[in-house]
Amino acid sequence: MSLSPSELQKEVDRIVEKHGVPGMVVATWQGGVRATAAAGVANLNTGQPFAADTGYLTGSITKVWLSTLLMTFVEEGTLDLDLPLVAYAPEVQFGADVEVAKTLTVRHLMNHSNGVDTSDLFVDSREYPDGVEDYLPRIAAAPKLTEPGVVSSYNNIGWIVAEIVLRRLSGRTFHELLQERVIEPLGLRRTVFSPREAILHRTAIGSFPAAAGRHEPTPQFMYPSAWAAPGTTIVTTVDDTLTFLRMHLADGLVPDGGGDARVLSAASAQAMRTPTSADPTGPASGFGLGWMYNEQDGRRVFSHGGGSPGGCAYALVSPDDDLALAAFVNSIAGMPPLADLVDAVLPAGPSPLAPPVIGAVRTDVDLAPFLGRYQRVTQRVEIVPSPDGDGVLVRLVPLPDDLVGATFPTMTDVKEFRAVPTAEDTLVSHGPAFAGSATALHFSEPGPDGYELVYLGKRLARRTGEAAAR
Amino acid sequence: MTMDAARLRAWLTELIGRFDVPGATLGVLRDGQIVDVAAGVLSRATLVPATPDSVFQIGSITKVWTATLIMQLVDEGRLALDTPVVDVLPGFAVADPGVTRTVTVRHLLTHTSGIDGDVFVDTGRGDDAVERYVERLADVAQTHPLDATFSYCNSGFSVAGRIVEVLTGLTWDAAIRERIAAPLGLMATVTLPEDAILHRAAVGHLGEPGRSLAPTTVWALPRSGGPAGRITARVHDVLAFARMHLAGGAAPDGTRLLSTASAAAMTEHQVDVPDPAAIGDSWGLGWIRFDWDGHRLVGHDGGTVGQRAYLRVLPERDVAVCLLTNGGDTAGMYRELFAELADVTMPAPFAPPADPPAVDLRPYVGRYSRAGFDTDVFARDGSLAMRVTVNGLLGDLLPELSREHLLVPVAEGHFATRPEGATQWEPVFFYTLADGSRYLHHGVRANPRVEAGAEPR
Repeated sequence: MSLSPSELQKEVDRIVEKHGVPGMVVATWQGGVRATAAAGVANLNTGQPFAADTGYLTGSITKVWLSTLLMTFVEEGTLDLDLPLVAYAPEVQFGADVEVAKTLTVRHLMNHSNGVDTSDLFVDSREYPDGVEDYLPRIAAAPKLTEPGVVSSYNNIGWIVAEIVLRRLSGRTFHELLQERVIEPLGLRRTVFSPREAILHRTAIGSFPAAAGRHEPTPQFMYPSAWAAPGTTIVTTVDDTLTFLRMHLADGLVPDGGGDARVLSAASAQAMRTPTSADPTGPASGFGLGWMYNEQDGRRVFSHGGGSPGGCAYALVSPDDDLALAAFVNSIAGMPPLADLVDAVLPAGPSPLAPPVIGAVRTDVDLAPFLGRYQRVTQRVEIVPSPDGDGVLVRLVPLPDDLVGATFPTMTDVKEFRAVPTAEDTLVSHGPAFAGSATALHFSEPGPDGYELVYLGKRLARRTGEAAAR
Repeated sequence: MTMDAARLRAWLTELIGRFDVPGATLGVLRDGQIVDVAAGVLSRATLVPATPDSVFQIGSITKVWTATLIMQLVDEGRLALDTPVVDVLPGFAVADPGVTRTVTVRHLLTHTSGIDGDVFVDTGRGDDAVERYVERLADVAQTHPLDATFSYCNSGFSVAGRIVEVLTGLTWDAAIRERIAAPLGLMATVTLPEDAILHRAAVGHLGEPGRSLAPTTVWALPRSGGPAGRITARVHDVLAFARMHLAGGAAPDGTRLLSTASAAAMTEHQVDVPDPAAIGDSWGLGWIRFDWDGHRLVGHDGGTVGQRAYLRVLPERDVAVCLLTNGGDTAGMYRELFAELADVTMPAPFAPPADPPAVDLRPYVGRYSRAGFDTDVFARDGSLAMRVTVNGLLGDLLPELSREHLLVPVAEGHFATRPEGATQWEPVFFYTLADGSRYLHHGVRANPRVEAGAEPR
């Protein structure tokens, strides 16, 4: 049962009110009908309201656009996803393990299964396009989180490597190629690559919750531009995004093209939607190429979120329902409103934003294997027994030295929460955690000191030698 | 809300309608207090209303800010006005080796270096944009010999901005922020689009006023030209900057940004403008100097891609007026507004006499060229006309600059031209230097004659 445009507007109004975020803009494709809705304030500095065509930073949804672009190179035979990427970029060493680096493929980048510990690394970099190259020295020293090709652990920097491969292949940049091969064929007019272009139009800016239920506008519009490929530069609208999503639903055909103009072949569009790597939690979620997938009861949806300073963007397609959704909330706490939106638009699920199903608390599970200190490049995870004897205390410590140009006061705060086991290998947060919903921590690789890996927030961290501070 | 603000707002609203200006903000500084009002919209595409806090591109008014940064360094003893540029910018070079060796900071601030001023090169969005731009000047030729005359020089201000970068270790953008905006407590003064986008930001409009005005598709000129014209600010902030200058270099809280001597030196006569009808009669250091009915003013105009800005400061009364606009017949609007607001009689608008004199046209015919700009002056049916062809990046961005003008005689060597749709006349002035070389002065720029009597191509 689709939401009519007025029902969608009511739902958006309700969600903004309920969550106390400044505003939201949404476009849906359901039952062959397009609907858009906008509510609230797009810019807390200026008081300007959200309009249906308000632009916003699409964040990591960029990865689906870049994947689309990469597939056009696969189609023309100039890129093989399963050749070592050093065949295209011999000087690039992705990861300190030289032998492993020589085996990594572009597929490993596109499904986050490369196992290199660089996930959210921000180095001191120049502006795009030069700044992309500033990542090369650092990534050659990056430790190994896992062997490649085993599980997915969200890795933004893999996409910087993908752009470098594209540049070596074509001599052109990601921005240039996307404009030529995807944006123009789709006839998009509001998808741009810089604030200098976005400023010609209504553009939202992000915000952060402050005291007493208020939000403060972001002091910084965007994250560093060198991260263009993982997703810091594209400003778009829900309408443009919806056209892009409908192209994917139509297996590569330009929507409303009136003919057989294509951005992708059907095979390419389908390949992007074919699971190629699962999350450590199991086969029900993981990645195709670019797309995140979630599977339940034989139904699969494909989605991606996008973060920006104080903003959460979202895109979802459900081929079984011929349904697409594009949305943006201008608050760092935008995921819960987006979860409500997905529930309203996609009641049959599976919602990628649904909180984890929490089984019963297991009092028989030994806590010792969970305890200790785990690390990935920008975060340390410390797990100690809870002082009152009930489960454990999880402490998430940001490491801001590796977040140059991408820190905010809330980002550098240490998050602490209690967690209890619900399975031999799973802890679930007990009480308020991330943005109000439960967080699951999944553990793997049991060893003599306990589990070697912890997985949360779509990312793995590996046990370090040290014991956690009490 | 005072009666003054309400009256100003109503007046501004009426004026923007009459002159086809999409949106504008107007501020008046009097007795240390700033009143600011807004009218119209930031863009005719988005129809977002302009508010007093909306930020507009102030264009070349930026040059007074860059000059202020230089004078702060003079106060700090880091350089002097007559320091050769090469002494503070190792590696600096232009095509002429003599100019390379001897051009000084003063030449840059007074538009007398003769370095071709309209070099528009996009060196990217990075922090090294100004540095890379200055490197590109190595091939740039002279429009006129060093010190020989006056020709508006944007590139010279990018060089000045680079000097600021090298001596402070900051980008020019950070220097503006830390050394002027922050001490003055300016809340809405930015230099980069990613900062402007946090505010209500005006979009320029191009085309013919009353006929074809439309929002620009390119918001701003490249970052390489920052020190010459990329500040985007609300009108209140521009007047707070003027207030600091009126106070001899001090902020209202007493913080000193400039010595009184430096603030004064910026307003004092450095060089005459060859064409007395162009804009003001002379230049100081950064400031343009005006004589209105015996009263001395300083100020500057700004023009970007479809936005125009005007600042006039009347030191004897501690008054300043600033108008920021995003397109239309802004020259006409400025004229009407400032005449009343400054409470000083402005010079009569430049215009040809009702009965233009008969003038021998032959001495003026020819081709006048500087880099990127070719001006062909020719006689047609007994009248003088000129065709301006703008090449390169600027020509692509602003195609309306490339056009033909009919020149109406005003006096010997002095002509008037009026673009289509505009209410104001512009002067075109022919003159000869001591060494006999002939020049055409238009748009505050000197164009040397390269061919006598050439036919238009």
